[in-house]
Amino acid sequence: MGARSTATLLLLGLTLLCSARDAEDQDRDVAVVVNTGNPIKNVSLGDLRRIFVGTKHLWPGGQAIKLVTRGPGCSERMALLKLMAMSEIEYKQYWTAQVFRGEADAEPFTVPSVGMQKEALNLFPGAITLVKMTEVKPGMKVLRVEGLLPGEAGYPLR
Amino acid sequence: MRGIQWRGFGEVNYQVLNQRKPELGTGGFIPGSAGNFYTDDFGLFLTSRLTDKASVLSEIIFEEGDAQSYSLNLRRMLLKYDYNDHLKFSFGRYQTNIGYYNWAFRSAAWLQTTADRPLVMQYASDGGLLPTQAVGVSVTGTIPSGKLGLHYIAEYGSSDTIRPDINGDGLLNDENNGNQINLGLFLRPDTVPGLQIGGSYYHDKISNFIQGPSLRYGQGIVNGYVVYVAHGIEFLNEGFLIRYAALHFSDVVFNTPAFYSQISKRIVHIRPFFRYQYINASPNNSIYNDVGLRLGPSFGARYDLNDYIAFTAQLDHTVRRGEPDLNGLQLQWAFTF
Repeated sequence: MGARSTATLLLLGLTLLCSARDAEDQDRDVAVVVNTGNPIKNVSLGDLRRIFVGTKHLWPGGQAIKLVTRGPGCSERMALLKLMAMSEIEYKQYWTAQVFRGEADAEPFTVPSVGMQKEALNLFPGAITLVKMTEVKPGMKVLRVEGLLPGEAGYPLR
Repeated sequence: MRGIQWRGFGEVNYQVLNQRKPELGTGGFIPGSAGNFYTDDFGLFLTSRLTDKASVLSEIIFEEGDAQSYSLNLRRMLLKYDYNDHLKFSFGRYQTNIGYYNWAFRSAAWLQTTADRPLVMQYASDGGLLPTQAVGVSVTGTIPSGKLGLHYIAEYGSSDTIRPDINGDGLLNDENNGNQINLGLFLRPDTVPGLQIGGSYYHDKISNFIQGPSLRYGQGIVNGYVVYVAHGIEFLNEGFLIRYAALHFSDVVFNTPAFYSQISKRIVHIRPFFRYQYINASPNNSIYNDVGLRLGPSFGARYDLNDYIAFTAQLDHTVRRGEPDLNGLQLQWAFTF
């Protein structure tokens, strides 16, 4: 095998490795999911942060926003904490403070499974939640974030 | 029936000073003793949602005073109506939104990093310099401003501040306030999550208790702050200019500048902190004659045992005009339930 063939093989191997890593990265993307009746299609990262820190309470149509989150430890929770720039302890303290400030009624509704997330989405017309891209189910409406869908290059939530 | 949500906050403190004279608030401190246990504020916080847009909030405080006496203080009682994110009304007794600290920590020690509030942000009933309570209407909301994240605050109400001297001489200063107005703006830019920059202007007319109720002063309080709270870092910086101008003698003006700066970083369950505070009230200012010049650092650490209980140890060093420097140690258990 000549030097040229070896280089070609190495390049091919590197390309395959990068593609596999890209696919793995894309699998880690976390989708922003809302009730299917919600007319919103795109949300900016700033608005998404405002929604999940509880300073934006209403959708543009006037519908009250209902936050639904997953419990500590899962990838959706990690993406949420990254979005809020907080640790798990700080997250809990933050929501206690928000309630005490009178800025929120209660800590966001936490559910243990994606099935319950789907049920909550159907139950609350203003619900919003984060779901791992690979676990998005039919009947969930996925929003674009900064114009990008999960899996697309540059998607900011993972 | 939507029910009532309850929460509670409490604290148990031990404070020791290198003098046998009460200082920095009167929370149960016994003259003649250099060290004391005290409980300060025990708060019950009740909320109830009435409709999708209306709710009720109240904060009932059992406040420790001299000789372990407890007074009941309805620190907040609000009927809230959120028309939308741009227009939110609160009617009732509110905590004035002068500065960041009042808004962020309210009266719960458990929410704070330090064992006590900076002196300028202490409740007026504990000897703090600012009018912390009023009855009236407060309007807040967001201003459409894209990535700037601009918010406004407008408050109009009746204060009735009665402030004890902080040096334990037992004197109470009744300010006989008029109606106060407080206007503020702050921004939370999208580009730096956790950053908040704001300012406010507060105005009222008060009496100087020593000179008598007929001598009225215009009270103006200018506040500016820059705060960063994210990634485990808490960096708080607030400055104040408290101005009293006699309404009938144009040349009598007292300006009291004050600021505090506080930085802390969470390392798993421990949050070490450092704070520096400064207040400079003129020796001729008879409204703050018990305060004078005070400056100095505080440092310590807060340890979160779990989601409900925290222990804080804090050392203070305060330089005072015309009096010896003051050193103190504060130990605090703060909890929520």
